[in-house]
Amino acid sequence: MKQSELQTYFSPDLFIPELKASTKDGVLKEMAAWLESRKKIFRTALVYDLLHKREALGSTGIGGGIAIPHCRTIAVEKLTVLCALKHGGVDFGAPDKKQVKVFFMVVAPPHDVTYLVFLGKLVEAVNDKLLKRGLFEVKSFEEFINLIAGEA
Amino acid sequence: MHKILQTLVMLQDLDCMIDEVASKDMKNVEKKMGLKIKGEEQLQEAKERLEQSLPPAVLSKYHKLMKRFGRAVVPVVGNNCMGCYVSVPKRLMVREIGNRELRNCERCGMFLYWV
Repeated sequence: MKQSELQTYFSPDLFIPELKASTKDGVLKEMAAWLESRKKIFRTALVYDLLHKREALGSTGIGGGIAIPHCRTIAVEKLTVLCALKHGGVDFGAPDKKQVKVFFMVVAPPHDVTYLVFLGKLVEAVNDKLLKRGLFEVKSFEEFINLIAGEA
Repeated sequence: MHKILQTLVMLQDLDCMIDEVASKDMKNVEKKMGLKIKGEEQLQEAKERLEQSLPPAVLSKYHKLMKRFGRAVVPVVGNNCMGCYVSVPKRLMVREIGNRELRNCERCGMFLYWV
C-alpha cells in the first residue's frame, strides 16, 4: 500500500468533527454507534465490547494526542476507518499522559490482508509533525482530507 | 439478535484477537505504534466465560468448525454464505429475520451471521 492510498479509506460520512463524549469509554461507544448508524457494522455492542477488551491490554493512544483504537470483527464487511476529533481532548490513558484529540477507529474483518499494512501506514503518516499539528486544527472533513492528501 | 449467535460472534472475534495479539506481524505493528500489550490472560478468561455460557452442543460444533475451517461463524453477504458462497434461502434475506434464530449453512455447516 502506498502512502498516497491512505486518503481513499476516508469518507465524509466516517468523520466526526467534534465528539460529544468526554471519557475513554464514552468515545469508544460513540464511535462504535456512529459506525452502526452509517450501516458499517451490525450491533454497536459487539464492536464496543471488543475495543474495550483491546484497550484493557494497553491503551491504543500512540502519544502526541492521537489514538488508534482497532480490532478485527465479523461485524464489519470491509476495512472501515472512522476519524473523530475532540478539540478539548480526552484522557485515553496514553503512555505520554497527553490528552487525545484525534481518534482513528480501524475495524476490519478477520481475513482482511490490508489491515496491518493500513495500521502501519497510518502510524507513519500521523507521526509526521506537520500533519499532526494540522490535525489538531482541523474543523471539517474537507480540511481533514486536504491535509491527509497534501501530506501523503 | 439471537443470544447464542451473539455469543458465538463474540467468541470468534475474541479467538481472532487472542491469535493476533500473539502473532509476530501484529507485534511488529503495535511496536511501530509505540504500544505495549500486557495481560493477555484476561482475553483467555473472557473466552472461558463466553464458552461456559454456551450450550455444550453448540460449543462442541463451534470447536469442530474452528478446527476444520479456522472459523465457525461466517457473514452472509448478498444472500451468500461467505464460508462456501452458496445462496441462503430467500426467506432469510432480511438481516433482522436471519439473525433472529441460530442457523447453519446447509452446505458447509457454519453458523450464519447477517451483517
